[in-house]
Amino acid sequence: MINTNYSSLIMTRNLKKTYQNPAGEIQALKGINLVINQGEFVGIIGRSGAGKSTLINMLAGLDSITSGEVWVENVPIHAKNEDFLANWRGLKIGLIFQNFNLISTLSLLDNVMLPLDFSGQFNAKRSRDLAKKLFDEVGISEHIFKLPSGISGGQQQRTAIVRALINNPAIILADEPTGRLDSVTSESIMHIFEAQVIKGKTIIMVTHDESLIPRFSKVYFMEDGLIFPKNTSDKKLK
Amino acid sequence: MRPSWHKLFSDLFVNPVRTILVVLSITIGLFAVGMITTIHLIIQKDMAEGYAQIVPPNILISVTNIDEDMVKNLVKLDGIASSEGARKFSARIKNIEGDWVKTEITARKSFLSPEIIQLKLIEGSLELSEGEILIDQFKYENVLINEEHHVFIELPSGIIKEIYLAGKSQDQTIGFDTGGGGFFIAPIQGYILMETLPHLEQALTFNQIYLTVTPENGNFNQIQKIANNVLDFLDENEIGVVQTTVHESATHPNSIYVNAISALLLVLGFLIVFLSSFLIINTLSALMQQQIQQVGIMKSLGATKKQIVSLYMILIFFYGMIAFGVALPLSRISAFGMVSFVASRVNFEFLGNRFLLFPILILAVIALIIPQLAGAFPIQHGVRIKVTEALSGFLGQRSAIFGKLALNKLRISRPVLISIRNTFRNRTRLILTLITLTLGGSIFISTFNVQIALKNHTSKIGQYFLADVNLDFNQLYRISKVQNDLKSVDQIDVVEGWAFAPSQIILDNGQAGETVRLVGPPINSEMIKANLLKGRWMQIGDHNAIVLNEVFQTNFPNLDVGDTLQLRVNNEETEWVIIGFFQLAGKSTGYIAYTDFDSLAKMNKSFFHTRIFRIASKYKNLNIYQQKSLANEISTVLRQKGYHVLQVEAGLSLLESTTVGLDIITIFLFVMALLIAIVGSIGLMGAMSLNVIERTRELGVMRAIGASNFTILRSVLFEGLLVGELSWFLSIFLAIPMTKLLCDSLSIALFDAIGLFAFTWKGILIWLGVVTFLSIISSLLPAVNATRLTIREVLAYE
Repeated sequence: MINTNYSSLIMTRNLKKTYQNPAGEIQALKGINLVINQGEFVGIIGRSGAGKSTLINMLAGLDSITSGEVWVENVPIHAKNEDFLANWRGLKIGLIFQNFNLISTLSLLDNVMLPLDFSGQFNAKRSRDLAKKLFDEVGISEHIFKLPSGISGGQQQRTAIVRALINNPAIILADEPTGRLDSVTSESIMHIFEAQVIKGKTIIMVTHDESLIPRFSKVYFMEDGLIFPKNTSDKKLK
Repeated sequence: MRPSWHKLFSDLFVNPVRTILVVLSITIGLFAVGMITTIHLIIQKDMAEGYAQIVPPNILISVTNIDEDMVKNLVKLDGIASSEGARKFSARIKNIEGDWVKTEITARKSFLSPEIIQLKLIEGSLELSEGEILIDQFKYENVLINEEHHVFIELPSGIIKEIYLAGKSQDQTIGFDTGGGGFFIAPIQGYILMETLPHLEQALTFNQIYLTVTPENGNFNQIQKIANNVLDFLDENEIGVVQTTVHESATHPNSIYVNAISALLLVLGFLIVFLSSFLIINTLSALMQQQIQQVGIMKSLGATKKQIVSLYMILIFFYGMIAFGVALPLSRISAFGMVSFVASRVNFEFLGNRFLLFPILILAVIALIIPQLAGAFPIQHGVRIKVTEALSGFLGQRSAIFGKLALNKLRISRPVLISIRNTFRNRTRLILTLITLTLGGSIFISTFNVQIALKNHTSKIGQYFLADVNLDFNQLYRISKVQNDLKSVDQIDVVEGWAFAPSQIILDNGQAGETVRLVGPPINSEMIKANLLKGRWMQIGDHNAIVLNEVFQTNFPNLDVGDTLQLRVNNEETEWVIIGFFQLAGKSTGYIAYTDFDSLAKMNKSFFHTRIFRIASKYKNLNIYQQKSLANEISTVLRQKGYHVLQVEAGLSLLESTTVGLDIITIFLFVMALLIAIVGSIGLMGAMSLNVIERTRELGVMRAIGASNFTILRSVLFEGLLVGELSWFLSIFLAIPMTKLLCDSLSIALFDAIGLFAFTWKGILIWLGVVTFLSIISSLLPAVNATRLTIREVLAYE
């Protein structure tokens, strides 16, 4: 294995992913080369089936890579085992999903504190204080003892964002975070993301909603497993 | 509390139905193991210890007459620890139906802490006075007791005495001298003081000698050697010996039945642990299936495999502990109840509820280990699934090839086709469910088969008891006279005089050994059809020919057809030629040999005379009540003609008494079958219910796209029935080797040989009914619940 030191925060080189299913072989990613630097708010736009979610899964180490390389903060994700990646994810990555993926039997507070429990970073009191502070920031602190089924989709997504932020990760990967939300709620979620980018976080967000393009500092289009950069003005979020 | 602990407790309590199903499947396995272990531990121990506590004799010698001094002198012989004399005689006692039935009365010097055979007092007092009697508990309820608390005894002379009933006692040595089965055929037992003997026209001498040996001479061969010395001593003193029986102190006369039960327990216990393990694996697999998405979420949040495995192992630990808490007291209560039941039927003393550490440890270990082991596979499987697959909740289930290839060509409706494909979709789950149900079903069917095998054996034993009425006199009567006098009873077809004599095997060293009951029916008797194992039955022209039961084959494997057997009959050494071996009721019956009437009458010096008759009716297949009616008629006729009748009883009652020991094993097997049915049923219900609960969301999708509740229920029901009936079909085949295993264990315990086997549709059909009923209930209940939820709720269901 070549030990290459890359200056970029995230880099992929000729990343490929092939799935086998009863219908045959599906090439979801066909050699993705991507470079993302710290503090960028990256949008990956594409239609359903273009390979956007697969790319996010590869960057988060959620799925195995067929070939190619993924480097995140100089860590060769493609060469690491599952337990390493789990630990690494718990400390470095915040994940947000379209369907929120909250544990239905746990309160919002417990859902949010769960990653800290796994990473063992803080004791219970400090974890709770930190979670409450973040719930305050996203404006749902009055619901923290409710179950996910007791709140709206937007509130669930805010909870998922709080959960993604609780470990103070450098990178947030969001897979269609506004996909199931109305426009007003989507807007509020985008505001939260923008605020995080201002704080220095790097966010990679997958969406099919082209109207969000102006909100990103860097945009890629995906189609049929291939990625194309869109030249946008190097917009800096203030 | 940390969130992972919250998750743990929410998994325990949020879905109570699921928790109950998981806990129940572990509990039932633990319960079965706990019950079987406890019974296995205490049943043989209680029997042996309880029996040793009453100080049973090691040697029992029946003699013609012996005085007290001579009995006392026996203690001076090497190896004898204590001796006591008693007098035993037969009379008749009035039963609650007003009939006179045989009773055996034992007279002893005292019943208060004797050195040998201590009776246990059940009620009344052991401190008897002259003219009082104690009755043994076993047939106590049959005895007629008047308002003055008297019982009625008819003496051999015909005189009737009223004797005060001082109490009820338990004598564990009943059947000591007649083999294990002897207890069941023994008549009502009475106990009196020696001083009472003259009131009952009996001599004030002993005819029974009870001897115990010193502790260092406790094994069977040593006791036998000492018994032979005693016999020599008695011979030197010209005391006629009728019968000798030798037992070790801890060998209860009915130990064979408990040994048989223990043998069955061992096999069933192993099978039930196996079954329970599959039940637990199956249930936990279903549980993990439901948790897959949560596993995915936790992994995406940074949980390592170790953390997730620990979380679920702790959850399983809690399930195990709850199950342990429920199963332990239940298994104890059931086991003690079962042993108490067997004790009351097999005449040993249940030593009571007590603290037993071993079953607690076994249950604790099983509660901790089996669910963890059973859960390890599904948990490992669950955590190995890719995060993306786990998050989607879609496990890449393979398509059902069976459905693809064959079913499309059949004209099967789409919903039914979907049901069939659903059944075969998750093959691992299907295989696990089928293994659990098939195992449960096959054990259930096997226990029925074993019961039938025992019943068939009992029917075969019935061929030895074909007489409708058995008639015993107090004295010898000329056979032709009795036959002539009974001609007035229209219903009678045949009256046969049979000869009986106790005898003893003469061992190679010339000393007398075990007692053999010699039976001599007429050579062409129509009242016995023996089940021959080897050789032939008696034929006209045979003299001193003998057919031996299976106990000889077991204990003297070198004996064969054509060999000569030496027996001591009426104090004379006689030679017999073995012409065959037959099977009766196993080891419990002791040594029994059949010869022809004339040969035995010659030994008894009672040509043309006997005390024992077998009578057959003109009408075939009389029931026990018809036989009793005939017996009463015969008794009346004979009494009118001045005969001294000791006992007239229905033929079937003798068969019932002989096979009652086997009936206890049958009852025991039935209880075990019930237990297995419960284990299997819960397995079936758990597996089916979890299958449906798991598909609640899928059912919601079907409803959302237009499926009616009826279509959903029909589809779920079809799937449940398909799995249930498939397991039933497979269990029929698995039941064959399982029946063989159980039958062989039982055969060896009862007969020391493999012989029992039967296969019946009864268990198969009952299990079909159980499986069908439970498949419907366990599929429909969760499906009905699913259809009651709104589609929105169902689609959000996790």
